[in-house]
Formats: sequence, C-alpha cells, structure tokens
Amino acid sequence: MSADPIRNIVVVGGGTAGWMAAAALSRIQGNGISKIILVESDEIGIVGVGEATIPPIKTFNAMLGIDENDFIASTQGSFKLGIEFVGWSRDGEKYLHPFGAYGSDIEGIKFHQLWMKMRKAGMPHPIANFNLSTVAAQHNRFTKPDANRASVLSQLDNAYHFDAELYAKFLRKYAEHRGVTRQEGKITRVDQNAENGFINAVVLESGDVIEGDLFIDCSGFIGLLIEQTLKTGYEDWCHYLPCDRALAVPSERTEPLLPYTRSTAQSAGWQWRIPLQHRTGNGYVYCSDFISEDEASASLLAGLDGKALSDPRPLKFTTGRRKKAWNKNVIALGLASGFMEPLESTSIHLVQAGISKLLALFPDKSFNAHERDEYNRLTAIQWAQIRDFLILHYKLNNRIGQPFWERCAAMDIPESLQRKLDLFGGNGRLFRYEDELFSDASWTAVMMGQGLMPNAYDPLADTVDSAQVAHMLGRMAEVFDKTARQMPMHAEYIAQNCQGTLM
Amino acid sequence: MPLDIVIVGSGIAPWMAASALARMARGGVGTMTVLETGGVDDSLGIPCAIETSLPTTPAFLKAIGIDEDAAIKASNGSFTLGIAMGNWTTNPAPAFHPFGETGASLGPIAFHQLAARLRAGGQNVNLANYSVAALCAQSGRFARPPANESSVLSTMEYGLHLESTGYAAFLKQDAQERGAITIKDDIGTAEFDCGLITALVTRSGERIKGDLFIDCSGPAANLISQMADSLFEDWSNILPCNSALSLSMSDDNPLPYTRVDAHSVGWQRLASVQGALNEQFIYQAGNLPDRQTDDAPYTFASGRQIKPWIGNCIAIGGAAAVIDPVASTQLTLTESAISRLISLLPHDRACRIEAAEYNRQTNDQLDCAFDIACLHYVRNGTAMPDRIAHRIAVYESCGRVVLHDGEIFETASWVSLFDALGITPRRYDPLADGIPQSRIEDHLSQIRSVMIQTVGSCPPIKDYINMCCDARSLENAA
Repeated sequence: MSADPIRNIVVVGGGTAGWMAAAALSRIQGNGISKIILVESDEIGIVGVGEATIPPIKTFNAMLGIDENDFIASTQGSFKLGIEFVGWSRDGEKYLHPFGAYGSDIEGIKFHQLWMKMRKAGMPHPIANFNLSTVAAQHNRFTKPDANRASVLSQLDNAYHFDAELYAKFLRKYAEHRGVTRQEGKITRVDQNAENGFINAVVLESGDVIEGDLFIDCSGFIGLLIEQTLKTGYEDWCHYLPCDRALAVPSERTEPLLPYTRSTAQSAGWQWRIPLQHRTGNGYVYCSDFISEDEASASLLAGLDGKALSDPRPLKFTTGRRKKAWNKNVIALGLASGFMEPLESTSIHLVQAGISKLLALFPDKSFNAHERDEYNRLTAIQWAQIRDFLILHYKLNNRIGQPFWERCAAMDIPESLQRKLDLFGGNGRLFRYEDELFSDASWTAVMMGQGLMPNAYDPLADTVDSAQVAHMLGRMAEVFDKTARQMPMHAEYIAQNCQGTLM
Repeated sequence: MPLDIVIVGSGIAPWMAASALARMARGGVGTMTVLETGGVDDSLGIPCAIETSLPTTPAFLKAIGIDEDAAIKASNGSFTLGIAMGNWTTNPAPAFHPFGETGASLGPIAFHQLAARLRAGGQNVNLANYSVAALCAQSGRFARPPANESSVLSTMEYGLHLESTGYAAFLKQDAQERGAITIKDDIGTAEFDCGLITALVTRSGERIKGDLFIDCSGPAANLISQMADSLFEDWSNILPCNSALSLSMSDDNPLPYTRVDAHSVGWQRLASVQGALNEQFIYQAGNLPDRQTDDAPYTFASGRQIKPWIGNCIAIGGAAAVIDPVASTQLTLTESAISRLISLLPHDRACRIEAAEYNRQTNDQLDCAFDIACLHYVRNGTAMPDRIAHRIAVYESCGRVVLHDGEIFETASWVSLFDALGITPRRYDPLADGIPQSRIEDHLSQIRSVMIQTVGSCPPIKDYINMCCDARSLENAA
C-alpha cells in the first residue's frame, strides 16, 4: 500500500471512544501489516451513564456490520426519535427537536416557507404535525424507518439510547474478535523521539513497553498524550457555553418508555433524561458560578421521575476543544479532543466523525503535514458548527428573572451564528454548509421552538398555488397521524425485537 | 413590497437574469426593465461564439422551468459529455474528464481508491473506461439519462454547447413574454441617495427608476464600479492568459464532448454545435502560436469584485468575476449567482443581511472556480496559492479530495482533473487492502461490461439531436 506503512497503532484508553476507534480501525489489519493494541487500566473508570446519539450512528454501525437488534439488546438500548426541550424558551413551554424532515419541498420552495404562508392564511396545524418522528414520539410509538422513498415510513428517522459501559463492552468483543489486542495496565511514562517529539512508546506500571507508529489518545479529559505529553493547547469556549459541571445519576425505569431524550431547563443549567431498558439515565449540567454542588444535587434528585439507584456522581469540565486534534503522531478522540455538553447528543458522533476522517486521511510513517492539516481543518469546522448550534439554545431563551439565563440571553455570539439568526428571523432563510451535521429541519425546530419566528415568509412562496398547498398539507397531517397511531408502542417494539440480555 | 428591478447589459447574462427572475420571483418583483447596451456579448466574462457548459446548465433550465429542447433548438445547441484534455501532460493520449459518476464504490471504499490499488500493483487503469459519459463520448453516442436509478445510464450527466447569440435571443424572448421592458441605450449616469442607486439616466436622457439594480455589463462593470465600496481583486499574476480569439467553421459531425488542449502559451478549445465547429484560443498576449487571423483578440484580466453586491447593486456574470474559462465554468457561475439572488431576494432596498450572505456564498464559489482554473497551470511552474497547493498535496499524499463550501466540482470531477494533469496519489485508502485483489478486478470488469452493453443501446448523437432538438425544425416551422 505504501513504502512505509503504519505498523503498530496504539489506542490509549478503553472507554466508548477507545473501543469505537479499535473496532473501526480493526479493518485496517486487512492489509496484513498493521496491528492494533488498546491499552486500558481496570483501575480507571469510564465516564458515561446513559448515552444518547443522533442518526448518523446507524452509518457507523452499518460500516462495522453490526446487527441492530443484537446491538440494542446487548446495550439495554432504546430508540430515539428526537429531543424534547422543556422550559427552554420559558417555563411551561416545550418543543421536540425531531429527526427527519418537516414535510417536503414544493417546486424548490422549502417546506417551512409553505407552512408559514398557510399558517398566516389560517391553517391550524403546528409545524410539528408535519414531522413523522414528532407525531410518533407524541404517542410513545416506534417502528423501523423504511428506506423505500415511496413509503410514508421513509419520513421517519431515529437514533439510539444505550448504556455506554455496555456499548464499550459490546465493541470490545467485536474488536477482539477481529484481532485487536487488549493490554491491561496503567501508563506511567511516555517515551518521545528526542528530535521531533513524536511518541515512540507508552510504558506501563509493569514495565512493559508498548511501541507504536500511530497513537490514538482516548484517555479522557486529561489527554495523556495530546496534552500532558505534547502540550497541544486548548481553546476555551466557556464564554459561550458557561456550564462547567455535571452530576449524573441513574434511576428506576418508568412507564411508558419514552422514544426520545428529554432536556429540562433548570435554574443554572439543564437536566437530561435518557430512557434505557433497565433504567433511566439522568444528569444535571450546570454552571458553578450560579449554583453549588449540593443545591444542584438536590435539584437533580427532586427532578427524577423514578427512584434514584445511586448517589449523584460529579464531573468537571471546560467546554472547548484541543487546538489540534491531530498533533505529531497522536490523534485525540472523545473527551481528550475536547468537550461540548451533551445537549444535542453529539459526543459519540464526534468520535465517529474523527474516526472516518482518520480513515480517509490515514497517514504512513512519513506523517505528511498536509494530511494532518486537512484533518485539523475539517475538525475545527465541525466543532465550530456544533458549538454554534448549542449556543443557539441558550441565546434564544426567555427565562426572565433567572440570572444564569439572563446572562446567556445577553451574551454576544459568534458572527457565524448571528448571520443564521438574522437570515432566519428575516424571511425564514436557511443555508446549510457543506457537510454540516444539523439539517434545515434541526435549525427550524430549535429556532422556532426557542421562539424565533421569521418576520415574513419568503416571497417565492407566493408563486405556488395556495389551494393546492392547503390540500396537500391537510392530507399530509392526516396520513402522518394515522401512520403514527398504527405503529407499535416503543416498549412493545423492543420486547418483540430486541429485549435486553445480560452480557 | 415587490421591488422594481433594473438590469444593465446585453447578451446571455442580463437576459438569463431577467427570464429567471420573471419566472421564479413573481411575488417579489414589480417592474423589470433591461437597459440593453449592445456590443460584443462579454456579459459572462470572456466572449465566445459558442458557450460550453457543465451539467449545471440542464439543471438550471429545469429549475426555472425552461424547456431544454427549445433552448437547444434556438441556439443550434448540442450536448457535451465531458472534457477531453490533450497535451496537458507528456502522455500523448488525451485524458477525459467525464460528467457524472465514475465507477462505483465497493462498500466504504471509493472507486478511485480501488483503481489506485490496482495501479499500485502495476496495472494500467484508465478511470474513464468506467464512466458511461466517457464511453458514450468515445463512441459518439448520446441519450439523456433516465430518472430511473436502476439503470446505469442514470449515473451519467451532460452539459450543453450553445451558440451565444441564439441563446441570448431565446432568453430575451422568454423574458419579454413575461413582461420585461427593453430600453436600448447606453448608461449615462447613476443617481444616488444615501449610497443607494435610485435611478439610471441613459445617454439619451431617459430616467429609469428602480429598487434593485443588476449589473450584467461584463468586465467593464459599469454600474458596480460606481459604488463607493467597489474593489477589484486582480488574479492575472496567477491566471496569466489575457487574450481570446474565437473562430467558427461549418461542420456537420457534432462531437459529444468538449475538447481542451494545452499550448505553450495558453490553450485551445474545440466545441461542436449543430452545423458548426468552434475553436477558441485563450492565451497570453503576443504569443498566439502558428495562426493568423484578421480579428483583433478580445483582451481581459482574470479577477473579481470583492463585493459583488453593494447597497442595492448586484454584479452578475463578467461584471462580478472574470475567470479563465478552461474548465467551462462561465455559465455555471452566472446561473448560480442568479439562483442565489432569487433565494435571497430582499423585501426592500436596505438589504444588508441578504447582501452579506450573498457575497459570502459567491466568494466561496469563486474561490473554488479559481482553484479549478489555477490547477490547469500547475505544470507551468506557476507558484500555486496556498489553498490549491493544499488540495494537491493532500491528494498526492493519500488520494483524498479536499472539499470546501461552494464547490463546483464533486469528488469524481476533481479526481478526473488531477488524473488528467498527471497528479497521482502516492498511497491509497488503507481499507482497500482488506479486499482481495481479484474481487476488485471482478468489480471493475462487471461495471465495464454493464456499461458497454448500455452505451451500445444509445443512438449516435446526430440521430438523437435530429430526433428531439433539431434547430432546422424551427426554420421549417417559421
């Protein structure tokens, strides 16, 4: 494949990120030259209670050839149709940010423009009625989307909730089965090349030396290689996303089993709720300037809808990203590469995206600087786009009288986000970047959900026939409602297809 | 409130803008006046008797609801399946950049990465052998791809060759039928209020009031250059060609592709329409090789307006940017500019937000068009700007195509272009090693045999034209 191929790939850390990387990279061993070793310490715990994901995870699983039912059963998982935001615009209000599109465009005119026009003309349906995932979620129902575009079920889209620890175990089994070597042990020293600073090896407490050409740093917040060793530097985004603590606690499962994540605004942050088969994952993400740990803990426990199964576990973080995700011969994935709160369930996606970029720009021993630069360029763009989407939720809040929220509403925001708000607020215009993760539907859901309604619809919407559009929309709402009511209940679907198993 | 629109210029760009706005923006447009200034049609940038397009042109016509056959008939048009590139490397055989897809991926591994693996093993793989468009071009056949995705023919795309005068007249008639008012005169002066244009006064003294002014006056940029903030960015140090000559001769055997051959001082293009073949020479002044002509060459400098939309004035086509048309991007840039204007059509004259977004998107696309043009001069020893140097370096290193916002070429086109210019990757996708070589070989030969079978069922291009868009049918009808 190359004059000088990578021989040894060392993955440092065995959490979700580490095992995702090992599982995906195991395919590279097909060249008969490269070998993958994953180093993890049984002493060091992994972060993660319940994880929520977004639809591209299906692509990752498909790449690995993972069977969906097997995967859900093995991770006590459930299905996710979107995220419900409760109280984010103000107390008592809620909206769903669903997966899948709203309606469909007509003659190049975007659906939300048509909806605004018809709404102005007196049509009663809220925009939520035109997203099948939302309608299904309202009934706590779920079924598999259909790839056939002629089927109404092709309008549905989903992701998953699962137990992160079980997911890591599941991927470990997959990776080990495909020849990845797991090395237990705590890293006590890192050896660098004296001339260029590249990592030569990691040395374990036992004295074992693990040499490598390429190192994947999945060591978590501390960034053992990327930061402790290479001093790469960190770009701090606290100004925009001021939450810096989280408390996580599992609770007993409740019925009905919801097919969506819930995010509820609290006085100094927000509380997540992730429904799994064997329990519910909960957590309070907050800003320590505005609330103490004890108060946050009390608020979290008071906000549970089932009995707590342990004491809340605290986490500290600084929102931001490593200045270079790829530095010398180290690529950081997961928490080692940076942190953004799980408001839009993007953590696992960023790991997945990092892995696919690495595969697309896979180096050889010469470590061409242009590959590294391209990886870092694409990573920086992606992180900034997600950051903007998260800031949007905070910026457009209307929680008057709560100091944390008032500060968020008053903050200055990146120019890239301001432009999006101006264009949408004017005539509902949306322009998606190349490769942008969040679609027009996502931006529409959150901007409208947070209370930003465009001043007017696009004049282009006046070129289509109103009566025809009104008829089409009425029919669509009817079909979506009927289709959703015919789906099995979420819990029923799981019991029939992917009931959890003990590993 | 609907806006009154004034368009300045003559030729393809102003009439394309008028026709598209009249068709697509009925709710947002009040009156539409075109101040037709006359003269050579350099409204797209560099004038040529025949415009060659990328696959964007059929897509644009469809989007605005114009019947493609009618446009072809009116402009003696023909079809192009790609760009044959001769003399760009030491390889004597021309390379082919086909439109549409090339090959098919195997699982997650892109086709060009599979080909690269076979090449690394010493095999000579010609990418164009696995493209329907290239195979059709090679055998002189053509049929429009069906919408049905199950046919391999649907993987191909095509552009058009159009006679400029006929195409401009066709668009003009369409716009006039939809209410566009024509005034034939020259621009005299523009009247301003608070930095916005309120009216144009023509040379003969007629006053044309409006809310939005579209400058389609070509490289002269008559209107945008009067705006306080206007600034031209000169690219002629990197894109050195500055002269153009175009010659047409009668010819009755249309080639279903565009041919672009490199010369020591520029390049030469051959393009067929119905009944004629056109040669265009683009070169650095004073250096036209072995050919004499009585016509004076058209001279130009590549570059762009940094802000194509200032206040209530929007420059479109050659008034916004002039880019060496080696990659047939002229029509694409004007079509996208018009679509972009429609998608951002403002409600009133004070349209700061729309203008900023328009300029951002336009510059993204022009950056990409600039990169494509630059790449053609890589072998001249011209120092490449950083961005294109990075594209080349990443591709050379691992076969990965760098993509930016506003890209005109998809991955497959970049790969074809790199390949045609002799830029090849040193390595390929490591995942390709996980597949047995015989399986890749079977995959390729299967693709090829299906394609050859399908291409054989397409008619010769001349028969196809006679069947659905013969220009003579217009004369007969008239």
